[in-house]
Amino acid sequence: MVVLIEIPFYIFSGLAILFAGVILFTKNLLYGAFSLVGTFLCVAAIYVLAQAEFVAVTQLMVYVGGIVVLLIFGVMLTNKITDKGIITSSYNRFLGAIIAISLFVVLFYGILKINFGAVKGQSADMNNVNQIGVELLTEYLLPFEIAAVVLLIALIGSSVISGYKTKETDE
Amino acid sequence: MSTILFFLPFLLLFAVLAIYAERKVSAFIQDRYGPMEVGYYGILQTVADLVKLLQKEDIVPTKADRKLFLIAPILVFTFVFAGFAVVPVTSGWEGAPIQTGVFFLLAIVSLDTIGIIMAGWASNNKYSLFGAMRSAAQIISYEVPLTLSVLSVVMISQTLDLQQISIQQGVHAVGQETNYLFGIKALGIDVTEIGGFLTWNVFRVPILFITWIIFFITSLAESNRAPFDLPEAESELVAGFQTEYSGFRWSLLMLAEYGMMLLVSFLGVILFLGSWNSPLPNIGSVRLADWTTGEIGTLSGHLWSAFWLIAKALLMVLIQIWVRWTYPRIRIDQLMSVGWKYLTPIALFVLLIAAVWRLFMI
Amino acid sequence: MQEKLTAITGSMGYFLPEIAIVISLVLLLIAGLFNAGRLNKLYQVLALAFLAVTMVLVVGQWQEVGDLVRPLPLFNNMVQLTSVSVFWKMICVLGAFITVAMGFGNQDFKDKSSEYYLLAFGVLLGAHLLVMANNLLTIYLSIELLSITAYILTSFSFNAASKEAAVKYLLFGAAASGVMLFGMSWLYALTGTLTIDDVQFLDGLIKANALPFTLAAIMTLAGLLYKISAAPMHIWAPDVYTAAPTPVAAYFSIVPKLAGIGILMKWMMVINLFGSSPVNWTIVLATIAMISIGIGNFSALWQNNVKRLLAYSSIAHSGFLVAGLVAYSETAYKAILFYSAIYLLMNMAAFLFVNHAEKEWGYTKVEDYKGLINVQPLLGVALVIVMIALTGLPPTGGFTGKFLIFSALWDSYVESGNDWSLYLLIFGLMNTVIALFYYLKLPYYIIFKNAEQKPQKQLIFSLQNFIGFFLVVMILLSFFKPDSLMRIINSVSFAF
Repeated sequence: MVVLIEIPFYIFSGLAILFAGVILFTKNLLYGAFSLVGTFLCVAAIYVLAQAEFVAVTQLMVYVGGIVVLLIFGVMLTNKITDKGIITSSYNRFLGAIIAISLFVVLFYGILKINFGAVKGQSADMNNVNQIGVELLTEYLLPFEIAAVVLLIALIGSSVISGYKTKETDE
Repeated sequence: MSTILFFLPFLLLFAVLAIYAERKVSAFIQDRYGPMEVGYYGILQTVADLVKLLQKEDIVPTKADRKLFLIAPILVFTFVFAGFAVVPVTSGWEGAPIQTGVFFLLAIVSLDTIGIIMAGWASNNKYSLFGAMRSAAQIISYEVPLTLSVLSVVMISQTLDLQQISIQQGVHAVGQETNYLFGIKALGIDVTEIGGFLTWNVFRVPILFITWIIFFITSLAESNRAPFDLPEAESELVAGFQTEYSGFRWSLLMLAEYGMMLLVSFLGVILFLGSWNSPLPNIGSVRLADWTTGEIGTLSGHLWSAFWLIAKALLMVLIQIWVRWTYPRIRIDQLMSVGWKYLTPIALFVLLIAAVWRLFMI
Repeated sequence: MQEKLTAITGSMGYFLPEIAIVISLVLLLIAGLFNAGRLNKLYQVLALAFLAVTMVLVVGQWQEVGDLVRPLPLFNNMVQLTSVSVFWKMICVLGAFITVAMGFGNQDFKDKSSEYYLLAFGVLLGAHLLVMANNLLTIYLSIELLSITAYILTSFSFNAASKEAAVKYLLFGAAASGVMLFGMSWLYALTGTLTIDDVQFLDGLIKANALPFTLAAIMTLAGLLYKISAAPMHIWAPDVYTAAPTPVAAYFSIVPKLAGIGILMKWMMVINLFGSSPVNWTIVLATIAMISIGIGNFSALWQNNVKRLLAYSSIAHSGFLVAGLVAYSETAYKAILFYSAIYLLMNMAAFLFVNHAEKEWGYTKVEDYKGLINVQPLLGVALVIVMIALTGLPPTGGFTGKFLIFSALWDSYVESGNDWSLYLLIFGLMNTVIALFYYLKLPYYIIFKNAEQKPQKQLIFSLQNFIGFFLVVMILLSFFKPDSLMRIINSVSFAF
């Protein structure tokens, strides 16, 4: 049983890393954005394997359905389609690689040193939607409400920033 | 399992027949005959068209982004098809047994955009790109009222499980949930035993009727159907994001479009119109509801519930076709103002009322 | 579940200022729907009234927390009410009040004024929650609330420069909070809880391996340092301060920064793990303080733009505030509180006058202030006093504040033989001399240069100038009679 879950886990994590690699190495921004879809889908699959079904669907809805679409929108709107393509040029390859690799080594080594026993394994009940709802409105009520204010502010802010008229067109 | 065994063949059959229906209905509305030549009354016309499509050359424009161009139709279809995974087929045969079925379907509906944008961008054609842009803008805008309207149902049903929502709306709810007339306990009329259309969500909680109308309008927009078919407005954009596609890939896009229609119809039926429950109520000893629903798991149960569910869904598809050939296409600014200025506030308001109504139910 | 619900309803009574802020925010939003643009003054008055109500509620809390022995957990220990947090809240509300009193100067975009004021409330709410936070989740969310509101406010000049600054701020901020969130996830992996004063949390950290603990704590620290614009997370500050409307820059230099210092005090206490931390945080903090002070002061030397100069000076001041943390003693914490209060007075006063000069006369460069003393003696003298206070020279409260911090560092060196305190002390003293050069540049131009032309509008009587002069008097008073402020600070208990 354990093996049965582990095989798809490794498949999906491998795929996620593969797509992430495409994002890093592709020179076409849109390819990167579409690979991001792949990464998010694989991460959602991993959530399902971790029996966090609700989180998985939230991942699909918020990231794949919302954020990536906006991202692609942004990429397409800021570049003329008739132009030669959306190409980024990367600089400081050598220094970047050194910093990235050393950071990776430190973080990787650090993660290996973490004793994950401290985190108690929760009961793996697939029907955790009710549980999530109750927790959100009792234990995590305050963060939940702060998040609501954050979203409200973000909404007001986006409409203020995007909706202002320049002096000439005003009134 | 239901997805492969049932929905894949069903979807293919449906697409063939729905296209035929579309042409016939449009013909009748416009006072003409429609296809008459192939088969009896032109019934094989779509099959003939399909054969022609499959023989066509698979053209990829030279300037197109080849990889994305080839993947996009498959992606569009896959996302739509994935949605069917959680749809129950009969009272005893649910889809994938996940607790968050409704939520999953909502996510699927929004995923479709990615494929469409990809198709539009990869075609490297300004009409395709305009179509894709419009489609993305439209789907994102209409997702808000769609989600809000679904949320009111979830608030009434207290579950995200599609099968659970289905069970609540009929005679099988006995022992699980008590349904009162119009969802008001104070009236004291217990309709759980009566079943039939009285326990459908639109009657169980009458405010959901308004929600259903919002849901229907937004589902038209989500599946890019007229009067919201701006992404593929043939008079302005040739065929929108599908312009450059031909042959098999184009038929995949078409299949996805009809699949989307069917999917939102199923969702609407399950959430609002009693799912696989019979519309006929029990009247005294005339147990119409019991007879026409059948016991869960028995053969009659399977047959009856499949019949009701599919019949209702097809009826909804028919209404979609009817709407398409009746109403003119709306302008893009009208589309946005309908979505944001009317549907969203109404949906929010109804959501509030539904929350209060829930208190009457217990 | 029942107890949790009771805890929530019980907490509401101690949460009145925050509830008042949220209600004011919504009321301003609704008020903004009517006749935007013409009711500019009304929104300002409304905002001031709401802030006054909030202030009354916070002062009311001050009385309540007076007899608290232990911190009061609210909302299932998501936040804690302590006398320190109430002190910070008072400072934040005061900062917000002065900012709102400065008004929304942008005449071209009058219709955005209600949003401007309500966003100020958003920042205030974030600051309030941050200083009370007792849970990594609350810390993260309140920092996000502070930051997102700040990004929006930065763009309120509605010109290309302010948009650019806002985008820079956003990008740096997103990266910083990403790093912080990653660090927090490590902390959760190490401890299995998010509540930072939980026994389980501290126990988990003590038992944890040194490397992951250090990495996690530093990553979390980075997010907090970003908020107080301390080096090396300070790069956003000069651009943002220059491009944002002057009142907003003033607001940023006070409220988010002091709230950040508030949570930093708590966080440093937590990760010190009662002295059993594998990392010597004194060295880390001392380095951060030195770099901040150094970068702030040396960069300010070459600045010509007054707001940019003040931005670098605020980085240096962050350094001094962090320096107070190095001593890890109660005297030092009290010195920080005192310094923060004085910093509020002098920085706000500086920005009030700069705002006046910019709005009325169009002064942005240091040279513009030539001979101000002949034209506007009162304003000139007040600005000179403020600059002396910012340098940290007597006879101003700025001196008292720096003196207290330095003496706390000296005590820590004498008592615990902490060498880094001594190095920091010497470095800080040296930098005060450097600071002299650029702070006194403005007084030099004001006093010793002759004005080429007189500004058009001579009238300097307005609400904001009145507040400015009042603050100047307070700065002087806090030098000659610091007792009353000290008395308030002495009643703060740092029980943890």
